Amino acid sequence: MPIDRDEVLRIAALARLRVSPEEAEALAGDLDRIVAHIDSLREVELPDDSGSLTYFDQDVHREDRAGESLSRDDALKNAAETDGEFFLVPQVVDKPGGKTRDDRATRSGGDDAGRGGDR
Amino acid sequence: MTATPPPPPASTPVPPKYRVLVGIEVHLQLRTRSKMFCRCPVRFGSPPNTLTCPVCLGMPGALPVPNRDAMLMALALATAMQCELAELTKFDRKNYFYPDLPKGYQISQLDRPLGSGGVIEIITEDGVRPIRLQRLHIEEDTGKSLHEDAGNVSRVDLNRAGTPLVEVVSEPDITSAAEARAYLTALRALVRYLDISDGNMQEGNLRCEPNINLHIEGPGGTTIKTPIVEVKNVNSVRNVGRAVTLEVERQLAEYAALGPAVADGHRSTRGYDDTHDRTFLMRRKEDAHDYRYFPEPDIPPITIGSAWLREAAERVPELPHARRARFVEEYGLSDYDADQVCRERPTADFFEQAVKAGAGAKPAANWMDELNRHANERGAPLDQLGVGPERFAALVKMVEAGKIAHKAAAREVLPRMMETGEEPEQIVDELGLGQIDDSALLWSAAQDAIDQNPKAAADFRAGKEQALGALMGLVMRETGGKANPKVVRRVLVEILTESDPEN
Amino acid sequence: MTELWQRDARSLAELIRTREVTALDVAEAHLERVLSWNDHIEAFLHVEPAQVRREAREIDRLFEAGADPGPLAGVPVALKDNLSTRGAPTTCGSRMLETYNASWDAHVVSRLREAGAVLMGKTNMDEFAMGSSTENSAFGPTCNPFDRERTTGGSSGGSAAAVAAGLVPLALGSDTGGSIRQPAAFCGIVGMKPTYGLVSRYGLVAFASSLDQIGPLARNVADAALLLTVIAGHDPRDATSSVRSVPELLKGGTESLRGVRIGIPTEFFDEGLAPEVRATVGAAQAALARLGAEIEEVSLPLTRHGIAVYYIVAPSEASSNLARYDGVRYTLRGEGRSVLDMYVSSRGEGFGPEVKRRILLGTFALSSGYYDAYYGHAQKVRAAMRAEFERVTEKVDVLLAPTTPTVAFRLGEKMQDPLAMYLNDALTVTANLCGAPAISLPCGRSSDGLPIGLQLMAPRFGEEILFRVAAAYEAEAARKFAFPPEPSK
Repeated sequence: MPIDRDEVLRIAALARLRVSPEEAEALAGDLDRIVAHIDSLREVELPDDSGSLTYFDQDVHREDRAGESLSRDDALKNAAETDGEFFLVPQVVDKPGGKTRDDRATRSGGDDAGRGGDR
Repeated sequence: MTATPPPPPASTPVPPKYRVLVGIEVHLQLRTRSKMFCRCPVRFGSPPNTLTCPVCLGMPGALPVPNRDAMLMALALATAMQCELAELTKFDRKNYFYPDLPKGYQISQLDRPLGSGGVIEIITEDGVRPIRLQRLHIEEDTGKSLHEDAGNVSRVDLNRAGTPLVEVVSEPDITSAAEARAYLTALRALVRYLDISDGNMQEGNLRCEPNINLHIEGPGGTTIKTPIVEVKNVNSVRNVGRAVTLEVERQLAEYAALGPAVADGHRSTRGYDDTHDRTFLMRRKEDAHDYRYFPEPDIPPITIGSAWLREAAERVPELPHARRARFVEEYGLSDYDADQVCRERPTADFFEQAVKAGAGAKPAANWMDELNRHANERGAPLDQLGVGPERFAALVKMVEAGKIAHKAAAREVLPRMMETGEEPEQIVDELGLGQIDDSALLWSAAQDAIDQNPKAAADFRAGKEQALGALMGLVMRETGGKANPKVVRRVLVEILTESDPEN
Repeated sequence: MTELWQRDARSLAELIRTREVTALDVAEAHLERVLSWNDHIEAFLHVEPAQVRREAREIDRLFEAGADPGPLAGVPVALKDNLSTRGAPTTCGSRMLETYNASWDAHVVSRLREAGAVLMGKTNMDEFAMGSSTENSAFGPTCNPFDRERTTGGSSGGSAAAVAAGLVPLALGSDTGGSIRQPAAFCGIVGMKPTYGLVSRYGLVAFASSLDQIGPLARNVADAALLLTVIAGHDPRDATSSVRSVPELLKGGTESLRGVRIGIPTEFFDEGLAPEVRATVGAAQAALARLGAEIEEVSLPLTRHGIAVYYIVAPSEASSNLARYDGVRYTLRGEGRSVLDMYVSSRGEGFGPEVKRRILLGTFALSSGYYDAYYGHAQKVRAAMRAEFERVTEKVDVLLAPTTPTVAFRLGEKMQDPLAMYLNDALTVTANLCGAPAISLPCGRSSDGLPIGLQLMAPRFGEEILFRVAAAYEAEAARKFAFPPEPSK
């Protein structure tokens, strides 16, 4: 899989990395050579029973006991911008309807609807 | 000259035949003491950013450890919904950037969910119908981002980040707004029976996203499938019905405008706006994320062995549908009464304990509304009203035995029992509410009433049964409402028939 | 007379315990070393002398009060700067975390405090542990104490250099693909990567979660065993931390290796090996044979693909692990009017070139359409590799190989060629991919006087035999650690 400048820019956007066009050119060269090496893996033929990835012979869980949380000051103290109560970030999105609201009330779950396929 | 035939009638548009397909994704917050992967307390309404720790803040080096109880709760739900339980389950990372997602990924489950398949039975006017399920899995909740109207900052509160969620995804078996509402109602009843979630949509611990499309019968017997629309921001049972209705109308209108080409559209996400009762476009499929799922390396895969299954099964109580049937069978309740009593587990539990303590089933069932009304008014659960099932049963028995009028019991005795914790007999005595069963007193009051109202007496003797009502009213007034109406009636009838001048 | 800074950890602990010297004396001797050396090699990023003295005095106070402050009482220990430390910076060698101050200790740091260790400070490293030369540190490279034109190796280069130059007797590093063993080899000391799961990763800033392990660096095998014993063992805060009990290391007794089978994997002795390395490791093999070990050739064909597998798995996990550095909660924040702008500028400014390269590589390998061909396939090869490793280590007790194909390379030599840098890890990634323990021991010098490392690997949880063979070799070869010459003023 050859990697060019556009591919680098596409991946950089996914990874939220600012990459200048010049950097992208250089990175494309580096990544292309690395991926070429990695591509050698494709020739590896694996036995049918190629082993399990889990080498854990244990399940580790936690009992449901609540403990101490950090103080708010400790939680916020390393942040670039706060108002003493919240972490502050530049505006996320413009919401229709205006009002202060929690846009995530139902956002978890994302775009997975109908994973079951075509219908 | 021949008559010209009348022009054919202008073709009135025939509404197309169509089927509605609705699937619903539900996210439930589990009612654990601590978060899914750390020991921060789970609590609603705490001051912002006071329930966080290195793990749920996603600080460098912090690691997640799964909450065993959350796993068991999810397994219990999966068992109750007859899902196929995974023998080996694992967590996966779903990667995306958002300010309230501290780690830049959400720990979720992709290809080995805790439960697959399964079913939820819904009750509508047309009866009971099974809705098939796709899957059930565990994930962690995000924090909250608050966006200001004006201004250019968003505020982030991470108290909610890491709260355990169960996601239940249905097959698109739901065919109407009413069924969508019934599905949510049934699921909510189930999680409350299992005591694993408050299931409160306003507080956001039950969140639902319906996905909706239509199969329209097109020209020449073809089937035209409208693109699937997922609707977000649906925050009540009522609104899930509205969302379905609005989408069906909108998709039909789109078909009317575009014809079969409607099928070429893209899947999209819309938001429900309850102020204006409408849906609006949020994003199209092209903007879909690339979540780069991969197995969560910080948590080893979990084998769901027999110990897990046993513990989960122990958490599954008798479920609403089984209990309804048993109450009909065992206590002779009507289907309606059984359904009412069984909707919420505390009600059914309380009812059953009261019946075991000697209360009659039918009267006890009728009392449950009254009890729940008190519970709602006080914002207290049924078992914390200060009146346990035993003392409640004692009260019901007194009413059944005619020792006190139902009204007096409901208005005076029950509230006082809740306040003071006294026994019902004691309250009835103290307040002098006991019904007058003293026949001598009643005989003289009845005789007085007949003497004062000869017309009513005559009417009754002439066969007008309802005339007795007036006489009874007089006796009741005379005795300050404490007379046992059954006894009054018996005494009046006896006097009137015995002293009938014609006899 | 032996100076305090020349002594090893066990002898310092003994001197302090018997009150022949105070913990403060020991701390001062090492602080003085830091003062005279650190400007020349840049091993430490942060040292707070007042804090070091406070900790040392506290140990002395405990002894005076008749308490036992623990097995490492008063012994100075350095921490790689990716171990979360209360009240100190934890920068991971990155601009991104330059101002970050943790309010909590990593599990291993707590264990060290409980054992009475005096924490000397935080050592330099490749940014987020991504590198093999410590040149990727945002705060400048660490130089090899034996030749300051050369690299210490990486990513735990600061820890290795600090131990080699006598700034501390002990240090902790982390090893994801060789990051403890390779710098240990380049600096002529002992560096050990434990079995995956033996040491809790809680508080180790993650690079690649399924590969990272924390381990000891020391100037001899017994010291490394002592430090490992202090940090090993189950921690309920790390779900991948093993519940097995920790084996007793170096019980003492026989140095004979009669009956011990040592496998020589042919794939680790390829053409790429420098002749001097081959010869020196060959001599070590002969020494082990003299001790009675049975030597046999074995083959691990899939390990030839180690680098390819590693450079898919590690960057993939890293791309996700490093998503949390987003400008919101504790990192550097770049300018941006929208949150998206803020993200890309924070991450663009905060991360150095190698970190960006690996994030991009990992994002690519996980992205839609490529997952099966890259990440998915690599995990399968990894599983097969591990099965192969386990089959072979059923027949032999330990595997012997060089730690690195060459001695320490020159600073700057491989900076323009990332792939060449990656290939330097070829001999070390196997242990990480297989979750196995491995140790690097000094086994000689090149004609330039540069250290050469001998690597021993064992099956998972085989620490006991690994340390036994290592200690026996060390005794047989009678290798006394020789400090580097003092830097000219």
